Amino acid sequence: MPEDNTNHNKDALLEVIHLTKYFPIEEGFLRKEIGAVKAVDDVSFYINEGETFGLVGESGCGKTTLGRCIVRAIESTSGSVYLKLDTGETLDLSRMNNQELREVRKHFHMIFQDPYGSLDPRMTILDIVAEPIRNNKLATGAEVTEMVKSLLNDVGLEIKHLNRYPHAFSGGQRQRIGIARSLAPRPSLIVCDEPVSALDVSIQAQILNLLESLQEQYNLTYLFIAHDLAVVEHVADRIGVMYVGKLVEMASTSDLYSQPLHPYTEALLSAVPSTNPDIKMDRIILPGEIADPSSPPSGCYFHPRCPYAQELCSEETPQWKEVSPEHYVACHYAEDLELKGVTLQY
Amino acid sequence: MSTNKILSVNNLSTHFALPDGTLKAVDGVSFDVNERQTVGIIGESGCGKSVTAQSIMRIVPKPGQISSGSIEFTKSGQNPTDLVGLEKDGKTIRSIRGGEISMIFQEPLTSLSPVHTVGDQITEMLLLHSTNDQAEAKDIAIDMLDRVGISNPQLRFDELPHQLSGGMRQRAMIAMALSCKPSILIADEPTTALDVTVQAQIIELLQNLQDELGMAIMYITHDLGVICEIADIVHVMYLGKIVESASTKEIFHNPLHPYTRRLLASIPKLGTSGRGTKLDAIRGNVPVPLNLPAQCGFQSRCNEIIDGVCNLKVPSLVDMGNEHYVRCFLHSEEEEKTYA
Repeated sequence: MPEDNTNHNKDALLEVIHLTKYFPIEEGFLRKEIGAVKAVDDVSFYINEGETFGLVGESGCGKTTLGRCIVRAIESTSGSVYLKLDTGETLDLSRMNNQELREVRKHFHMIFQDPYGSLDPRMTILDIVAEPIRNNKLATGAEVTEMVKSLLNDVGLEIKHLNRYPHAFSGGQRQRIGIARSLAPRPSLIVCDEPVSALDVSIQAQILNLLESLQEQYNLTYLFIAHDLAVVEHVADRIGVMYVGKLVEMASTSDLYSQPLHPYTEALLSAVPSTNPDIKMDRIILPGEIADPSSPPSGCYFHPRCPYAQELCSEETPQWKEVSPEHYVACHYAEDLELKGVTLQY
Repeated sequence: MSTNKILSVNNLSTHFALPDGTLKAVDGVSFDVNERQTVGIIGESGCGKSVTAQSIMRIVPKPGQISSGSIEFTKSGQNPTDLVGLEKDGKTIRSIRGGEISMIFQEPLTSLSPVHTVGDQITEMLLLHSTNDQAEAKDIAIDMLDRVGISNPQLRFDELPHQLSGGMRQRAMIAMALSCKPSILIADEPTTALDVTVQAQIIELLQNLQDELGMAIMYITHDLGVICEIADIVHVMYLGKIVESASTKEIFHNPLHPYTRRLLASIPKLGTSGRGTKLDAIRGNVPVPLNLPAQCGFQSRCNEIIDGVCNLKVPSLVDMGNEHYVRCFLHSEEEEKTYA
């Protein structure tokens, strides 16, 4: 672990420090760089072993890019991603070359929103789930089929489907296949990118329950990226809220929902439609849309939409500070505002 | 609030003749829409909610066909017109479609042409339905863009749809749909692809415009929270049939059909289902409505199945009092006659 790390945590399975991803904007024949889209802008957080960390924010806030940088699906611009192995060894994923990565890829995996796009249509379910087992030389011959059968059983699919192709399955079943495939090499970290948002309401609950029981069974740590705040509340121990590439608030789920400290978090919570017809929520309707990350506003990025914005907000970038234990926020007036959260009934 | 009925769907069936058999996408659906009312239709993919809307607009894609039933549209002070009896591309339906009944979709690019400016598309609608004056049409279009909350409407008028953001495109589509002051707006999942913050903006906008223009809204979605927020009356659809209908309060406080109850129990709700609680998931998947046997559509996933009844007979939609209808043998033994 690095020495300059301020929230150093011994139990952390994953620690992300000052992670940044800039996409260059190029122009002309010589592809001169004229600017950058700051998709992920100096993000730091950690996830403890066996924990689920939720990452929420509107589309375009950089949450998916952050997840992809962590699993090295794309290269980060700067910063570090430390992953602790069960041997006690800690790896910096961001500094590894491709060959080193190939050795350690089995320890982490990503599952995607679109269960249709993430499976090869020309491979049978057996081959799809067996591929990571064979690639990592975890088993040979008949053992592979046995492992696949046991994985399919664990994710709630029938063994008789082994030789079918992805098109023969429904969205929920395909998501189960994707999960079985990601579990095959026994990873410790799974990055779930909107795993239920493309599914029907009645199927969402099935997959959420499955992810939870697998977490116990396989001792998994999840980074759970989603935009649905009710879903994230259900699965996450701690949550980070992203806005235009930056984390604006981070706390335990109950703290964040009951006492939000950032006006953006408050607005997000108030925008969730309630299923109780007697409750008419005092909705905060944010004007406009999420800022363009290639030319973000001055000062606090949220100030043009913030109902509490003062002069200072457009001039100075707020510091990332710990207001109460383990409750971090980047807002000039976090201590002065009395924001409204959700009444928790658990 | 007046209770003049403007749309009355009676026993509507829309079937798709496929090589493997008949797919009953909509199978005997009846409901009314009153003036200024918001009717919510809720269901999962494949339940027939979108095909119901397409049937009303008479835009059912081939090989789909309305096989029976009627859709009576009543313009204020006039005699009802049966939309089913009209010629599919005839003059009458074309004057109703877009003029009297308009529709907005989940993906605005399905109704906006990518090669015409936003302004041209709205004025085209107006010139077709309400005015012959080009300048007046432009004025109305700009006023409409302004009303749906598009900043700088004069400038946006000359922009192409791809130059607008997702939320703005949705607003432009709403402006187009409402420019001819329709009496019914059919909204098919208009906020599903949007972020919660933008969804809140669009819902508020629709409610304000409804008050202002006095139209009825038929709101189709799978999102129970949105329906609870916007609808006066809710119809729950499953496998092409309405399985429960009641006022929004009744549906959410006193759901009767096992499907409605389980659906409400299976979604995480803000503030009530924290970490560690198990969601009460519905097992299995929605069956494909192809060559369905005569039985309750939900029986394969239901926990309260009555053996020898639910798997052999089709329940009828029965009034349980208080305008609360339910199609389930747990509540009434009445069978649907057409199948008996």
